[in-house]
Amino acid sequence: MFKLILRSTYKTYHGKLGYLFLLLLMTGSVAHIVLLKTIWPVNIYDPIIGFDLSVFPHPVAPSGSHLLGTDPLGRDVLSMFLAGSEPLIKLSIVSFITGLVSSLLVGTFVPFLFRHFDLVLREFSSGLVLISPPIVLLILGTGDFLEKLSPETVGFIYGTLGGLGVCYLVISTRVKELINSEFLNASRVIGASELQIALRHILPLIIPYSVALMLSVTTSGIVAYGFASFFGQVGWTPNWGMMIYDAITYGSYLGGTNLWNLLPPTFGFIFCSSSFYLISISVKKQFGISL
Amino acid sequence: MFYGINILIPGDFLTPLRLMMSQEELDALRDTLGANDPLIQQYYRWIQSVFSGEITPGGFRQRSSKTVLDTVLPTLHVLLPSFVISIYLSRIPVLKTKVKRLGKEKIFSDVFGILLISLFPPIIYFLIGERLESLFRSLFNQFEITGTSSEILLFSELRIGFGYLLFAIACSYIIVSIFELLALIHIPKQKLLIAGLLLLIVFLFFDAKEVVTMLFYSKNAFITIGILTVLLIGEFILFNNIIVQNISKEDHIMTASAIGYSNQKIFKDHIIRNSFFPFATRIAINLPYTIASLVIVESTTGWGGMGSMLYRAIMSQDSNAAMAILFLLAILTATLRLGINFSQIVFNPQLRGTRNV
Repeated sequence: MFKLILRSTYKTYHGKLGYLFLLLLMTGSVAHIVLLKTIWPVNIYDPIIGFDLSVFPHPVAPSGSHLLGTDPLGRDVLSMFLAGSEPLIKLSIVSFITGLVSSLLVGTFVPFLFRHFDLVLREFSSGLVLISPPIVLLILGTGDFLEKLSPETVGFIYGTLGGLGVCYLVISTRVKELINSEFLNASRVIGASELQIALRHILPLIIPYSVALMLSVTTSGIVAYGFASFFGQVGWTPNWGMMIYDAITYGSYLGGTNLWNLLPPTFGFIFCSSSFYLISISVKKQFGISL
Repeated sequence: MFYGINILIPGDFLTPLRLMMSQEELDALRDTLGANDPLIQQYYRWIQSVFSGEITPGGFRQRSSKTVLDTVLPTLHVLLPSFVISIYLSRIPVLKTKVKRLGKEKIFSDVFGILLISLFPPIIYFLIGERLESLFRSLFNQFEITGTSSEILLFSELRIGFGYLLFAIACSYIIVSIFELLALIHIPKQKLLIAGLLLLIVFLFFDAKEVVTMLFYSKNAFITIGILTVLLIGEFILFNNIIVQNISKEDHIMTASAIGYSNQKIFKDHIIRNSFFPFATRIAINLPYTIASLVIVESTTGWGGMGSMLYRAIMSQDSNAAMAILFLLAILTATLRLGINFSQIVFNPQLRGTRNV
């Protein structure tokens, strides 16, 4: 099923563009690791503690040694930009997988096999939909949890909120529509157990819904992580939110706020969030999901 | 649920006092004020106090209920005009598309929508803040208007607050009309009429000094509205693309097209009317994210609404104030959702039909 989704989404323009953006980001992340180990000296090009003593004052405009210039704290913008994609890719993958697994596991079995429990779970999911995940991240980032708020943790929190929230509501409604369909009754007549029906018939039909929804949720997760990182709520990881914060805050004191400091992280966020959203649109188009 | 989120805030409303008191004194105070009581007991006490009109309970208060409630109107001052502007402006790309192309992929429009959503509020502030400020300054110089936005404190807050709300909505209708005229969509007679009526009410019921104060207040308000609008437009463009694409595949659109109705008529009589309810439902589902955007935007521009108050309350570990704001935001979300559901029952003939049966 996942292979089919991958193949069919690639056929649309949305899918092609989405995969291209994702590939660019992944290549950037790998390139950063390779460059830092081979060509770039760590003391100059480290995305957090790097500083180029040979040029002064910082920030400097794009040049041969610093292709995207340096930020007000003397760090190489290209190195920060490439390093910033890694946490977001981690977050997206963890969030997508967590949400997919939780929504498929709970969404397939509970409305089909444990219908009474479904009523309770739907109320719980409706409550989860009301919670604003960026605010939860803001709250978590104020305390001792700050150091533990890694991209994977944020992805897990976001995936759980999305998977058991909006995704569960949609999936359980779809499962309820399917419960009395003729092909399921036919399977029952020829002796298939409820578990077999859930796994063989229901699960494949709801996978595209879950994939499309979780890709959209992941997009909001990326934007929310950006907000949290802008406010310094995600600890000392190289990220684009912090790049924007540093460019504006320190830039106003040290040499002015420059576009070459602001544009790379802005485009980074645009590429990253649009890649998942475009693939999500592609899934919806290819599988006729009108959500 | 919101009380549950509040528990996640590290420390409690007494934590900020740790710099002024010893740990023993703080523990004693915690016992006296019931901060160490079981959660269920604290929750019951909070519910009781909410019903008695006090939404920031807990003995020691950094921010009173009044301080928190005073942020409601400023929030509406930016939220409602942003909604008005973004709902209408987000329709422009669809209105400029030919009916037969509506069912096709809208990759540019989708990418543009995502681009607007992913733009960081501080970046938008950096791009438009200075320009809007200089525009207001030149307008004030042109019309020789003098005064400060702090003069708003001299007048009755509630009165001028409501007056300003009408003024801001009127301005947003004028902005929408200008954009619709520029995009050559149609002459927005109704919108201009509504704007004119609202401005007339403001000029009749408020004296000149109050109106000048509103103009000065507008400067900061419209920077916040501008940023929030950019984010909301992105979101609404994506909503519109999906909704309109689904509607355009329906039989009645094909029939209208075959009969030979003009693009304008098909949009006005079939597509826009049918898109209202799915659009409203999506807005209702997305309200928590809109509120999150409000927090970010307000704390970026320093606007004194619920968003920036919530941010400051969380940062200063003032859990009582945070609880009060989360409670107000829950009420705001529920009210907007109820309003949307109620309007669906009133205006949707299909739902009315079901009710009658």
